[in-house]
Amino acid sequence: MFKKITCIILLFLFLTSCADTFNSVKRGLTGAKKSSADEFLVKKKDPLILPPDYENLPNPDERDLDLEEESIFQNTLEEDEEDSVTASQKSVETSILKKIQSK
Amino acid sequence: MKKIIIILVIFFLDRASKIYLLNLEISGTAIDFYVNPFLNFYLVWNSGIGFGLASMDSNIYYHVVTGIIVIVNFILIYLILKSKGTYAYLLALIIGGALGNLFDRIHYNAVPDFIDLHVKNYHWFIFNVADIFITLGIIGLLIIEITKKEKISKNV
Repeated sequence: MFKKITCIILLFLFLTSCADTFNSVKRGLTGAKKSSADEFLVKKKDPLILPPDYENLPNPDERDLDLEEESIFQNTLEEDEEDSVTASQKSVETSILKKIQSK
Repeated sequence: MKKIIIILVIFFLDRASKIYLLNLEISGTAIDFYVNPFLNFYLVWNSGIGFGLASMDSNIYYHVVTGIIVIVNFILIYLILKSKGTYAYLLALIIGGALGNLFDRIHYNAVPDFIDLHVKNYHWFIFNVADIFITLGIIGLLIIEITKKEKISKNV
């Protein structure tokens, strides 16, 4: 009787074709490793090196100096403008005062 | 005669379901349908035997397994010719499904499975129409075997 039952179960196994998407039973029985990325295929990082035309690149400090010079120049320009404004204001004031005095 | 009709009906039911789904796939729709919370249709090709067992990449191994299945089918046909009654009808259920799966193994080199029963995230193995009939036949045979034993023990 047990022989017959085992035969029927074997029949079932051979004739059906139900499958798991990941074939988990097969994986469990054979002890196969879950497919994962092959660590030996990962490319090694290249070592850090200086760029070939590193010497020709402009020095960042020099650029800062240039900027500073420019800003100083602009500041003086702005100051001049302010001065001119005050001078014109003064001239208006004096002209008004003169007109009042004359009356 | 009835047995032959049962075998043919199961075989063509199985073929029709597979051809319908494969045509859908060829026409460009991915076979990944949500039917209800417990049933999905998701196409998987099984080159092994039940429960996805024995599915290997080697061609020779595949042909050996197919050869064994062909022999099993012949044995079943021999048994059905010899047997009578419910036993024969159960064998007809099994043969109908087995021929359906065997046809795919020879024609496509793999069996398409697409019925995915699941409760939440717990999935049963994906199966096809042929598997349903084979399983029904096998359950019937097992019940007959178990009840037979009870009868014998009662007589003793």
